[in-house]
Amino acid sequence: MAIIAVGILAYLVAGPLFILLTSAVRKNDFGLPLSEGSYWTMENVRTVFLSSETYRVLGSTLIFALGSLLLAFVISLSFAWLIERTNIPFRNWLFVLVVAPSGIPLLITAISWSLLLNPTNGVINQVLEGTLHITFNAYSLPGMILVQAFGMVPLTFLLVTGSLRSMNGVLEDAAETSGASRLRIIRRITLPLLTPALLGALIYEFVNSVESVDVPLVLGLPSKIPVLSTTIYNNAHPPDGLPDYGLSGTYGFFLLLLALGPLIAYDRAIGSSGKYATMTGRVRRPKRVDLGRWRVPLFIVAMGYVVVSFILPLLILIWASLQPYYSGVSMAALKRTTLHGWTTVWGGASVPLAIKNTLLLGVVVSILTMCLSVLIAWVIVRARSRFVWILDLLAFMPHAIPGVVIGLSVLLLYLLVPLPIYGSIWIIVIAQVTLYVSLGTRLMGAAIAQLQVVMEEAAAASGAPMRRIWFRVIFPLIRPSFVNGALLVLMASMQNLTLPLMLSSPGNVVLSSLIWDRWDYGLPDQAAVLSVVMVAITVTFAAVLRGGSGKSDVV
Amino acid sequence: MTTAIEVRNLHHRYASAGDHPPAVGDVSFDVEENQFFTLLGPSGCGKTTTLRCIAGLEKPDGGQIKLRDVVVVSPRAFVPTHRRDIGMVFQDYAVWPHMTVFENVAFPLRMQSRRRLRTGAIRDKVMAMLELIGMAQFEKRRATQLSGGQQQRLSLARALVREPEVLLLDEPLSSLDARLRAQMRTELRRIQRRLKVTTVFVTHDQIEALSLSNEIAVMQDGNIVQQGRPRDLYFRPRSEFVGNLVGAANVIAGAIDSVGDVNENGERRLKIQTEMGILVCDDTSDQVWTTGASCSVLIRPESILMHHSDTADRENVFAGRVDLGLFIGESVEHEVAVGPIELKVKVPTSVRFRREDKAYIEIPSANCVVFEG
Ligand SMILES: Nc1ncnc2c1ncn2[C@@H]1O[C@H](COP(=O)(O)OP(=O)(O)O)[C@@H](O)[C@H]1O
Ligand SMILES: [Mg+2]
Repeated sequence: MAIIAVGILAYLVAGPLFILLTSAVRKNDFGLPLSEGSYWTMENVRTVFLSSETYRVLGSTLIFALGSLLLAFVISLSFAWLIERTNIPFRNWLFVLVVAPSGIPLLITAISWSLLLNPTNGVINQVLEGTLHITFNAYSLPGMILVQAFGMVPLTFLLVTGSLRSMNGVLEDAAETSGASRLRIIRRITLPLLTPALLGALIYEFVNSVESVDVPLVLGLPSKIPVLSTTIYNNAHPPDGLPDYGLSGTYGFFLLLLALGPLIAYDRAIGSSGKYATMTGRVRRPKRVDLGRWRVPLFIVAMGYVVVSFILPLLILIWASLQPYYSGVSMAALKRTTLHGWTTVWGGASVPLAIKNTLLLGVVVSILTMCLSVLIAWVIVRARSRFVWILDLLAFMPHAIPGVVIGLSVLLLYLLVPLPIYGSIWIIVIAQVTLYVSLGTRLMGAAIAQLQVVMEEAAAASGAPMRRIWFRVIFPLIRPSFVNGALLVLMASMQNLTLPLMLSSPGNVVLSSLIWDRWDYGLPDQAAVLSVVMVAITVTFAAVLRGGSGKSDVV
Repeated sequence: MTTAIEVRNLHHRYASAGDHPPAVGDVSFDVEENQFFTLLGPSGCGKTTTLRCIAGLEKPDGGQIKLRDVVVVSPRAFVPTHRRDIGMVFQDYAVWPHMTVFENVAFPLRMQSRRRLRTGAIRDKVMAMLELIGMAQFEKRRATQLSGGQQQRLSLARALVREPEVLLLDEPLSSLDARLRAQMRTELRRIQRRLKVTTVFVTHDQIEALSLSNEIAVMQDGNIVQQGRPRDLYFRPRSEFVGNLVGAANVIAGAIDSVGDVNENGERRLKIQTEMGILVCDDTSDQVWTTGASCSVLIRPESILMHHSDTADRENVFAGRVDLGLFIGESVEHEVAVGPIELKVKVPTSVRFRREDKAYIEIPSANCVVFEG
């Protein structure tokens, strides 16, 4: 059973990667890169690596990724510090409000910001125009950075706050008794100690921001700001003309290098050195700083952020869903309020199909991913073989491979392999399982590592065969982690736009790709209605997830 | 002698503790210069809290603390930790994992803002300190690559390197294994003697407290219940709690039978009715005893003598039977049943008894401590 799991993993990860790499250097003038009649060529590689266009795209990708990363970290660190280390009022509520937007798909965040900040009738721009005579164009790099950062804050905050919370306060006390002032303690002790966790989160979010297509599609394309992910998408799904998979694959390879670089550097700097090996000992919760007269002003600033980043976007979506055509907020528009969008959107087969597909996708992907992850994690943790590291690497790889690259590879693979899944929902299932299996393996690895081997050995000594040990001992003990992980994957799967888009065909439409479709087609009211529906679904799941686990400081 | 630390009416309750009793109720004590002062008590009695108040890591709800002539805590003043002239060693070492051994020790020197040291001077001081604790060869190691004992030395070096007025030690030996603990105990005492630094030491271990201290304050539920020199505490505890805390003890319940006159040493002979019979005790306290009042008597196991044959001419001799003998190398610990009472008796290995042997127990009256109740 474990061997089957390992085989599936190898197939899921290695197959597409192989196709991706070869598609970059094989070409067929009339068909798919690897089909019969293709030949070796460096043409794609030359086109990509030598054209100045590539480096322009790379430049904007880096500015976009690093800019949003910086902004998201500044915001997340500030919130983490305020909530974990100060006596700011209503800390628990602030925590919930900062994390809550994790239930909103990034695509929808981007759409709502387009409604708020587009240069012609964005609501905020209407206000700015009326009062200060300035406008802020969302269809620009700064606009993309801002929105991407808002989208990344919830997860970044969760990652940072977890490590800040588990830090041993005695290490700071020791610096204080050595004569260090508060600022010096933060600089010389707190930040250096958080460095590994911060770097880990930074790299994780870096991969997220270079791979995602949501914000670049909604805000970047209108003003022709391409980044790598949208370039890959456009070459595989051009608005007109034939797809150029070879070129797309080469760009994909380029993006893979971009994501792998920092990851390997990180691994070498921290993973191996043991520099940050955790020290044992009793942990004392750090003291909270008394903010004094800054307590209320800082709370107001924090709430201001919550309103702007969470509440305003939701309100504008609801507003847009009630308008026959979107034209900002005004008295005239208020008079036009109608439920037309809500009643017409259900017409045709695509919406019911998308909802059905979304739920099917989420449930199947989460179950498959977690079952596979449990088996792989168990092998990794328990096996005594020398070759376990290969498995570890295989399970870790998807974490470093941008989703858009996985999408492309899976697309290429099933265009070639004569399996009848191209164009069905199952191709998205396969791609998403590949994407999420590293997350699942990490979660289950942690759970299984905590499980003492003697539990299994005791069952074996009591005469239980392996199968019964699994069902009677192992599974019951790791069930909480399993359920938690399944919910996380379910959420991520339903929110994911990249893979449904890369692998889209009429038959496998899901909510996220349908919303993009309607928005791209110029139907903001329908896009808004669907967004509200989808947020209702995902926020419900997110609430269940956070409520059920309480402390899911995962990833 | 001058007073290095003065603590007056210290009171502290943790905000997060709800309506639990305060961590520190009302604590006052003085520590003379160059002394080794110990706070001894069971876990949770408020020792760490008291120490953290002296360090400034907690801001107490009430009371006053003076370090030398500087009022660091009072209702009006609070000097933050980094402005107090202290060094502190924490229970779990708290060495910084992201620095080398050298950097850990140099840190306090680099933090001095008033008299900035040059790099060479810092190096000299750090190396001298590492030399003193015998860790000079580990200078370049990462703190995480040290054993527990080495980490403990390192954190001691770090606390001492800027030659603080006051050294604060919070159970510094409790995370070490037994052999290492004994070794570090000796070393700690030697270093403290050498550097002549006023020290406040927190522990729950009676051997550490007795062997290291000039003065011990025993804490119970947030208050000091007895303070004195190690010998006083050991031989003249004022309560059963203190008596048990500083060493193994037999405690026997009884009632006052008669009270004798005070002799030239200021002692009174008490005759006490116990379940073993009449026990004669020399009482040194200034307690007023009334006949018939209930009391208890504390006797250390090693002050009891064991004989094979009856010595009827002496007082306080009782016949018993050996229940158990534990040979522990330097001595033998016996359990001897005298009537309904099990007595712990510790004798040299030269005194040999077998299980079930008849034994005559002699309790010297000078070694009995009598408490009320
Ligand atoms: N940070 C804290 N918050 C709330 N209560 C605390 C805290 N630290 C200690 N206490 C409580 O205060 C009392 C005294 O603790 P402490 O001073 O650490 O005792 P000791 O060091 O003697 O073991 C204990 O009851 C403990 O539970
Ligand atoms: Mg303590």
